[in-house]
Amino acid sequence: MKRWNLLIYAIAATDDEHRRILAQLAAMRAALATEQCNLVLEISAAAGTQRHWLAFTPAGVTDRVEDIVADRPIQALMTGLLDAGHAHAPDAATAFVLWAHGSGLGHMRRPRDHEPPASVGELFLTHALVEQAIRASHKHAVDVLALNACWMATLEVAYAMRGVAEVQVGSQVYAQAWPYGAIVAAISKSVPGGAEPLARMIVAAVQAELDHGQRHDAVSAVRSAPLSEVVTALDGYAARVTALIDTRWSDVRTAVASDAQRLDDPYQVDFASLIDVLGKSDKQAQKAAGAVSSRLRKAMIASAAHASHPGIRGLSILCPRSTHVDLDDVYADTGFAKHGWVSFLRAFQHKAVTERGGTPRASTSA
Amino acid sequence: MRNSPRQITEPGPVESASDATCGFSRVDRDLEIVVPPHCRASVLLKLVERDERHRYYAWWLVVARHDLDEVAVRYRYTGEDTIRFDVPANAVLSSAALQPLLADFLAHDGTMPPHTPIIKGLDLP
Repeated sequence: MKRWNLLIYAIAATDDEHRRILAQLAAMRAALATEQCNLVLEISAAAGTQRHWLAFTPAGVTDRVEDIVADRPIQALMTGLLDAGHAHAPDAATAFVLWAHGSGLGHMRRPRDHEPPASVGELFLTHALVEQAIRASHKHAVDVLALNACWMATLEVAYAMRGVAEVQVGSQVYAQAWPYGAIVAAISKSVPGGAEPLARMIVAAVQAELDHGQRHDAVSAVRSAPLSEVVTALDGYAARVTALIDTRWSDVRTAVASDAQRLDDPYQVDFASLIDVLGKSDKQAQKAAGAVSSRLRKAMIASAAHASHPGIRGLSILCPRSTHVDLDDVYADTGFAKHGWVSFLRAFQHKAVTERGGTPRASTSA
Repeated sequence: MRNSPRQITEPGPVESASDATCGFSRVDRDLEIVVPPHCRASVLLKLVERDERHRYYAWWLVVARHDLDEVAVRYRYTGEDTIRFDVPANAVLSSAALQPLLADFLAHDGTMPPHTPIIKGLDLP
C-alpha cells in the first residue's frame, strides 16, 4: 500500500483566518484514521510559525507541535517543511498543499520575496515562490502540488510548475478553504494509489460541498506531463490569431473583450472558452484551436465549479481587457514569456491603443 | 389657482428592520436592479485592476431611488468580480465612505487579505 506525506503549509493573514485554520486542524485530527498518511500542517501566523505533526496510532491521533523559527524567506520555510516531511517518511509520496492568498500570475520581482516575511498578512502567494521552494527541497519535486489560493489554476502557472509536480490542483477563481477534514477522511478510507487518485479526492470533496450549497468557488486538477504539448500547440494557434489582428480586428476584439468567459480576476479568461471563440470564423485558426483542445483534454483530470462561474473548464490564461497591464512585468522570469501567446497579447494591446489614438507601451521584449 | 410651494422632506431616521434590506452582496448572475425600499441607491463596484498588494474596484453603476420613484436597470453578469451595495438611506455615497465598508465585507468573505480592496475614486484618472 502506498504511503503519503500530506504536507500543508497555511498562511493566516488575520486572527480570523488563524481560527479557521485551527478549526480545520481539529477536523483533520478527527478524520485521520490510517497509518499510511503522515499529516503535517505548518501554520504561519502573526504570532509565529508552528508545525503540527499528526499521526494515527492504535491509541488515537497524536499531535506533536513544533515551533519553527521564521527567520528565513517564505520559500525557505516551505522547503523546510518539504524536507522535514521527507526525512520523517522517505519512502512516502508527497502531496504539498499551500493554503494562502494567491494572485495567479503576479509581479514576481519583489525584493521582499527574498527576505523573511515582515507580516504574513501582506503575503500573496506567487508561483515563483512555490517553484523555488520545491526545487530547493531534497527531492526537487512533489507528486501532488495543490494550491488552495485564489486564481492559481492558470495555464501559465501550471506550465511553470510542470517540472516540480506530477499533478496539480488549483482554483481559477477566488478560492475558499478546502474541506480538509473530508479530504483526510477520504484518504483514510481508501489510501490513493497515485497522484491522480489523490487529486480526484480533493476535487470530489470540494464538489460535495458545492453540491450542498456550502461554497461558491471552483477547483480543478491537471496532469503536468502533457502541458508542454499544450503550449507548443498554443504557439501555432497564437501565431494564427495574431495575424487575424490585422485582417479581422473586429472579430478578435469582440472575442477578447466580450465573448471569452471572464473570471473573478480582471486579467484572465477561461482558456478553453477562449480558444472556442477567438478565431472561430477562420479555418486555420479553428484547426489550430482543435490541436490545442485535444492536448488540453489529455491534461485535464477533473474539475468542479459553482453555478456562479459558468463556462469555466479548469484552466485560465492571461487575457486582460485593460491595455495598462505590463506584460513584461507579469511574465518576467516565467518560461512562458517566449511563447506565442505573449506575442499575441502584445500585438493586441498595440492595436487597441493605437486604434484610440494612444501611444503603445514600449516593450523590452517585443 | 396657485399651487402651494413644493416641500422636500428629508428621509427620517432609518429603522433597523429597513436596514436589513441594505448592504453588500456578490453579483453572480444577470440582474434587474431596482433599489430596495428604504435604501437610497444601489451601487455596483467591479474589480478592474490589481497589483501585488491591492485589488482595485471601480464605480460601475449607480441606480437611485427617491421615495416611491424608482427605476429598473438590467445588468449582464460577465463572470468578473462584481459587488453590489444597496446604500442605506442615511449613508454617504463616496469612495471614502464605502472603502471601510467594502473592506469589512471582503474580510468576512475570507477570499483576500485585509486592506487590499481599494475603490478608485471617480475623480481620479
